[in-house]
Amino acid sequence: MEELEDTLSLDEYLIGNREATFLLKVKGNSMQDAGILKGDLIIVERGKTPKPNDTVIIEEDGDYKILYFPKKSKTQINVVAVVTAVVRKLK
Amino acid sequence: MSKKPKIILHLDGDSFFVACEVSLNPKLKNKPVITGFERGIATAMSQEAKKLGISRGMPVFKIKKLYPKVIIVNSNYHSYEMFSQRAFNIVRRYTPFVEEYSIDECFADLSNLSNPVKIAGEIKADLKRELGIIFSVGLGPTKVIAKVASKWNKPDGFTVIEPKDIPKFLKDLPMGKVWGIGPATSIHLQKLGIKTALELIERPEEWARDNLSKPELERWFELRGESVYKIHTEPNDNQASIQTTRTFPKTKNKEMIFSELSKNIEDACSRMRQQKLKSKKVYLFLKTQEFRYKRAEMSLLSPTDSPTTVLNAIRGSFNFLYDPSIEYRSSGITLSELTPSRNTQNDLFGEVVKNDKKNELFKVVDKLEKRFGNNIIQLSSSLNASKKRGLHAERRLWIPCMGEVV
Repeated sequence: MEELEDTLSLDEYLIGNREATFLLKVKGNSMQDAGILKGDLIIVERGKTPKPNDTVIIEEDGDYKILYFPKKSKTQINVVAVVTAVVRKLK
Repeated sequence: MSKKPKIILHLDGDSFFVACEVSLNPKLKNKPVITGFERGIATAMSQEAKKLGISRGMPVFKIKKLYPKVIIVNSNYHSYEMFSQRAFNIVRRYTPFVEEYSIDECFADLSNLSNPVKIAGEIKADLKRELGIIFSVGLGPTKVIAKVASKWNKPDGFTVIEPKDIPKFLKDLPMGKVWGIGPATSIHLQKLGIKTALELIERPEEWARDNLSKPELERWFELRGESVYKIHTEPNDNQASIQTTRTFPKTKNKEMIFSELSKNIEDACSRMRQQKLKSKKVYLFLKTQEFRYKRAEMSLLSPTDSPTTVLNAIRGSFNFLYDPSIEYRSSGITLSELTPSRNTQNDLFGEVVKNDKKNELFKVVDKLEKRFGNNIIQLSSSLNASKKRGLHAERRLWIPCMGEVV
């Protein structure tokens, strides 16, 4: 955002590509240092091309996993989506 | 009939309900899955389930008994509806002429695009990448032929039927498999000695007019590649239109607000030109700091894709809407009543548009305004416009949940 405005639509602020946006519930603390904690809701965008160090969702043996997209990888990584926002309620 | 054949796209979701389930739950991938547990019958089957021999409508108890490995899930229509709307919106990125035919099927008119086959491929790729759902794609000169094409290689099909290749595709196609031909019609045609679609289109027009009912005759034309059925672009009040909105830091500055509108118009017109369209109707709105909408609508004298023409058409209404004591925060333009560029008739403006000299254009607009007065630029009540467009309606944004992540 260029400038904090008086009013804001959360939908517009948090979501870029509406058609490609999905939610996931975080079950572990593996991405703690990325600021993503157990219990968080994350907003992800499918089909986005990941850049190195982006937080991404991959699919492995029928499960979704969250990790940093590596700069190099020996094996093929099946990226499903790129994490674009975290939603955490405090109360 | 029509000089240049149309290019109609038909998209058909493969095992759509199951595909939505799989898109949200990777554990279901490549497994025999059916939806419809709550109804007690299979409402959709994955390819793997189809291979086992399960068909739509088969009772769940029977499936459980015969195929214990099949995964049976509840239908979640709300979620399917979401995927469906998203899919149609993806198609609308490329053309406003989209007909939502059913939850997992749509038609679109790609005739105005410079490379329709490539665009169809991009639409299919977007749908797969962004929604995780595979649609079979068919392209043809008519809706009926586009339907034949999308069915041709299902699942995951991509078939283009050019007018000259039609006979090849219709040779072994039983009439009963043609879109809109029911069992009764199919029997009627059999009595006339027609079993395949090719046999129908080989009959001469005179025979067709003498022997066929109206819907049969329409199919005779459509199957020959001559378009009869139009694309119905109004699914739920959503007229085919191109919209742009801009939000800006709140301001009372008239010049600034008008320049935002001018950017709206430039964006919208450039999108129209990309899609080779022209518009005959402009809606404009200003949103105030208090979230009030001020609206106006104008009919243009002739369809245009020129930002200068549109800008000039709205200038008067803008002056009318603008109130210097109010702060504004966003503006928007909607261009509707879209027509393909090549069909645009040059009336009144005609000579001048060709000329393409701005000064000339301004002069003519001024002259026309003097001559016709309010007939050129018609203001209608803002209330009416808002009702029509439903911009005030609070819409919740629903987002599908893909479950949990470790």
